[in-house]
Amino acid sequence: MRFSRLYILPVLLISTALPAIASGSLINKSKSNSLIPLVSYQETIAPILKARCYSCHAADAHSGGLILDSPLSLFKGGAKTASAIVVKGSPSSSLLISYLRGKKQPRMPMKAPPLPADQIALIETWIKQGAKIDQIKLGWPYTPPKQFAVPQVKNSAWVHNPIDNFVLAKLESKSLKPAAPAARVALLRRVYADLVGVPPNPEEAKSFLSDTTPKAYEKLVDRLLADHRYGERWGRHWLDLVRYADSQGYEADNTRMRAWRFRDYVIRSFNSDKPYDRFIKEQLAGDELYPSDSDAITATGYARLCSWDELSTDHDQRWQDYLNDATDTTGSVMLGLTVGCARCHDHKYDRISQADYYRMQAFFRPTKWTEANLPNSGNDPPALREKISEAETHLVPLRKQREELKEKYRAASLAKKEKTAKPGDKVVVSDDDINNAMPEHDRIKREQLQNEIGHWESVEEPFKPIADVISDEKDIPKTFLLKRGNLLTPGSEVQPGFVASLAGGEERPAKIIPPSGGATTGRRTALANWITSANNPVTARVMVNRIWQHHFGRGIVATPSDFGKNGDKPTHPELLDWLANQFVKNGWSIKQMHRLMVLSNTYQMLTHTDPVAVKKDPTNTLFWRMNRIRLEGEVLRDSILSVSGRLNPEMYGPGVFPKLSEEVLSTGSTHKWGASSEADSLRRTVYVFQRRSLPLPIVEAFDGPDMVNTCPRRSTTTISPQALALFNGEFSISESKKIAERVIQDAGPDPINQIVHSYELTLIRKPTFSQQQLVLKFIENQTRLHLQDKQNPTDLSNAKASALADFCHVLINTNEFLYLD
Amino acid sequence: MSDEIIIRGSQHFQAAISRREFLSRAGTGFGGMALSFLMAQEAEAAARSGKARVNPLAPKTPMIPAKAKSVIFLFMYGGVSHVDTFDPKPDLVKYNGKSLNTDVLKGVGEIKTFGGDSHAPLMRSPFSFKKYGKSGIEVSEIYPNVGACVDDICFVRSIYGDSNNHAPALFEMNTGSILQGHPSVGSWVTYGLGTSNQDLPAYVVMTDHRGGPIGGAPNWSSGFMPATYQGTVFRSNGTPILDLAPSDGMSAAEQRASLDLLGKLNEEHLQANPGDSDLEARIAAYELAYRMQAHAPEVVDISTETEETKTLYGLNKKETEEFGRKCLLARRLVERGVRFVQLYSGGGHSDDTWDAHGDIVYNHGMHARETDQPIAALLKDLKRKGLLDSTLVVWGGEFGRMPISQGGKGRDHNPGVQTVWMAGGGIKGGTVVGSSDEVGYKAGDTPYHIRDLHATILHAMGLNDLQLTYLYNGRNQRLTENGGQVIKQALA
Repeated sequence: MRFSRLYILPVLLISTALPAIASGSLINKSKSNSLIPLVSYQETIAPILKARCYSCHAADAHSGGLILDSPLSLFKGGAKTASAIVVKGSPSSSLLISYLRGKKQPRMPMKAPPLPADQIALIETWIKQGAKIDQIKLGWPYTPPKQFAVPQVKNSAWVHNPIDNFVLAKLESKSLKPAAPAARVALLRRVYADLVGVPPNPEEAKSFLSDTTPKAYEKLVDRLLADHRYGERWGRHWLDLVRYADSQGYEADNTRMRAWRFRDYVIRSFNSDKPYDRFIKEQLAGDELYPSDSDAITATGYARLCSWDELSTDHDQRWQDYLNDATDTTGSVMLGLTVGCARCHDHKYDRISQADYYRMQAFFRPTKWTEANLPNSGNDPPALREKISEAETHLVPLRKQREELKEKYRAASLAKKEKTAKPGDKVVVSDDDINNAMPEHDRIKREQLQNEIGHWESVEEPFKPIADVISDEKDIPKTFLLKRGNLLTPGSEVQPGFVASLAGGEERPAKIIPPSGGATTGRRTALANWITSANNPVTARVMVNRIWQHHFGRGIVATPSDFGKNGDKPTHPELLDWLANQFVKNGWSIKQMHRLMVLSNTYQMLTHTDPVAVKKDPTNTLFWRMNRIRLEGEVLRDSILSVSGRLNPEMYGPGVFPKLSEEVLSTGSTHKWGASSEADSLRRTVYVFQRRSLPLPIVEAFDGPDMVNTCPRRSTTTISPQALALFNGEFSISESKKIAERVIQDAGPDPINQIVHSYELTLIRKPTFSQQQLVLKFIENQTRLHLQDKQNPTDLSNAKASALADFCHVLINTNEFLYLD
Repeated sequence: MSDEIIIRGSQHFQAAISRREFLSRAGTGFGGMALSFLMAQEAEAAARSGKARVNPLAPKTPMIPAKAKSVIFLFMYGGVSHVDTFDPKPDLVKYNGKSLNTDVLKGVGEIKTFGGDSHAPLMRSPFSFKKYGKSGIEVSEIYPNVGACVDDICFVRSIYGDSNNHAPALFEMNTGSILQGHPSVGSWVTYGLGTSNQDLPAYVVMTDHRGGPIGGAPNWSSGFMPATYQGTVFRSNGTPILDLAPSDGMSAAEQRASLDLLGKLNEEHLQANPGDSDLEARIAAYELAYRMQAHAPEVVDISTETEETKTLYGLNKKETEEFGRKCLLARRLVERGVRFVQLYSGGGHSDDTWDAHGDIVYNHGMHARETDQPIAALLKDLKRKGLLDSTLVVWGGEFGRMPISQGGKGRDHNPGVQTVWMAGGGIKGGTVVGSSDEVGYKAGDTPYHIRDLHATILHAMGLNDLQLTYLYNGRNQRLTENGGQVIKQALA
């Protein structure tokens, strides 16, 4: 039923795919050139045949016994056409042309519009030229990064590291100059938001701003990279990609009580600068590769992060949806290619066949979902382990009481049962028997105990060192190519294998070595090893590009999960390759990549636009200035809490529930939100419970991820609900009051001191004199308004505090606060 | 290629094509698509690339001429039984109590239920049906007021979907996909057409007072599109939009003074950073929010409506008050240029929704009483105000219900067929399109998939479902995936 209308597809192919083929041909468009260049089979002819002929004449269809998808068969013919259908050098004697031109009937393609004349002409030219089958040319991004020399630049004084050479060389070739360096305050705010996701507190700011030694900035960067807040900030980027959530999605959207372990694993991995290749291996096959490593086992939860319809009645389809999701997400996230486009048909734009798709899916085919007991208590910090012992302090006496109560009636129950038992029968007393033997009051007591035990067990359960992970089925199910992606129309069986274009162009089954012990198949290890091999053309490029994107606001490839034809071309291909090589050379160290990028002068430029440069390169694709970056929803919330001094730095553990208004809760069918302590609700946003049906409003308003689709890049919309949330929302208003309290406490009663300190806390700078005067006037006027406000009667001192809070509220609403200059 | 334009996200054909090619194709190869629409898309592309900031919600010219300018989607959440409302089944009376097998229905196959007994007997509708209007279309006794409007309505009795489970079925009706994460119909319409009133949200959703639908916000989310196109939840009382008023009762004077200071500081910042369209846009967003703060409460302030109008919608009766108010607000919203309004009847779970597993008389009786008069009032009111021609009204749920009984009095989910009706802009009233089979188990004549309904809604709004695309994940995504079939018989 689902695919019943897919017959529309071939029609679509005709109307949309063909112009692309024609424009991609190698025919020289210049008519003055008398030399006709060679028509390439791979580049020109095969795509035409693929679009118009394969649906009937391919290995899995072969109408008339004719197979066209292997070039050799062109010279062999089919059942009806005894001889070759292509005669080298002679289009007129080639049956292929006769059928296409309708000289032989039925005219091909059958029951479809004929091929356009220019396409037939191309095929004729190709035959005339000898019908040569050329080698597949694998261009970008299918060939490994090249070793580019660091380019020379004129203005070598500007260069801090090779990144600057690559960027500046491009700029100089276009007669552009890099922008001036950003002011130290701007740089300080930038690098704090970028690396740790909160602004510096006054002490931190002072320590950098007062350090005038040449190494001050470098020292700051190293300090921030070593800061545990770094993992909370950069882990979030990865969680976006793998669509992390703490709930299942769909109707019930029930809690995944152990999902947080994956989130914590990601944070720990970033903080420990886990090599990226290892990070990938753990998520794909940690159970096989590092079976005694608690984190590596937790990591396989990667393949369980998709949304899941618990109430589905079509379990086969649900599992197929799951396998699709695992395949698509792995392709997008780890390979930067839209592999998912090849689920129903060969990729329309990229070199990914439908067979490639199912070969890749075959790596996940034996997957089963399971729980794993974690060695070393899951690497949990003592605070989390204490939750278990805390629950146990309740559970131990409660269970004891329950036992005692049971024992009290065991003998009586046994005696009663023995009476009715036949001689020789073994008498067993069940809990029910004992329960029945109890008088009313003890039965009630037992029930109460049972309830209390249940409560403490449910409190304890999420903290237990157990993780939601994957393993493999013993009997490996077969993997089929699904025609049109439909589970009901399986095609031929496929074996696990790599996307051919990324593996040198050859279709080869993967070499799979089952790990000793035999619990799993070794398939995922094979996939992980291939993705992380130094020869894989895309893995390193994709990751350095993601890192670049977060630092600079736009990737070298602006479509970070689509390096294919539909994605953007790299603006600096040489730099991208150089970085990718550097990444692998440095042992896939993410922190070293940060260091390289953040210490470059390219990173340290002003965000100011320049009238000359903006004409030549309006979108700053060449990086002649730093892009102005808006704080993400999480960074915004964390920054406000940091400024108010209330951010709770506690790390790890199950998701927390900041208070939500009733109107927000009522938008779902189920009011599933918890209640956390005040302290917990002030923790960093990365620890807020991620419910798929109920995103945190401030994060949602500021373009948070939808937690269902992989999110390679946050959009930055400017919509009025953002203004409403930040200007009228309870969080922003109540935190402004806390900021004002902090200001009064730190700066004393003098209004000028208060204004200066408010600026220092929020914008990390002092106000100008005119700003001071402007704000002073505002505060005086606002104090008067508060005193006149009959709805909220107040005295002078409170009115002053309210006015200051109003000012702090304005500050956190300014563009200067929300954007990084 | 100096004249190359990159159309990311909003692209309709390929990632990058030459400007000349782009425009020439628009003129020839893809006839029917108005050049002005392309220009709007181009402007958006320019906005995305930072060249000039264009409001993505600025009104756009439709691709094809269309009467409807707004949509009101009346969503009967929980799943309405077609055979008890707008699809009379004499055969169900005849076979009442019999098993649903090949004697009754040829090729019926294995009966798939969601939770009920698949061998349960067929159950006739407990309600009687009556002919209405010039067209003589039969309507159940629980919908007499809507019955009186049949000559304005086109009933499509052969809509089918793919899931018999609430959440995926809701997602499919709202987003075209049973999987979570796709943009909703309202998002597509808003993306394609923008909105004419910038002081109100372009796309408004009003949930039931008993709660939201299963799945929550993903039902009106913009999925992989920017948040600009997502639905805004509007409450029918008090402050209609979240955070529309300051949370701590800040006075208007205090708020204005704060906004003025903010404006000054932002302006100063902008002068130090000239030419940054993002900064300008954000300054504008605050003023827009401020205007919204003034205009949105005006929409829910129905004191200016006459008593006659309020009575028409049933605001004087407890049963009809809630949904009546939403219907009246829907009229007020489209009157003010809001592009897409979705109202939910039913919220939360079980009998608080149309999910009549236990007792069709109790459940559907109650929900029909709540909605019949308000819906009829909406159609009449739109008509007399001259708005019906420019408003497409759609009525339906996430699936139909089973012709066999569940537990004797209820009915289970049935995605095999349901009735969806449309009225207003561009719709041919007094018509019936398609049919269910003899007993209403599956679609019979001219079956239409939910995506066909979506194609029809887009078409009525002047959008072509194949051409309205958004590039995500390397693919030109569409509401109807590979295209739907416009239900031509439904069109005037």
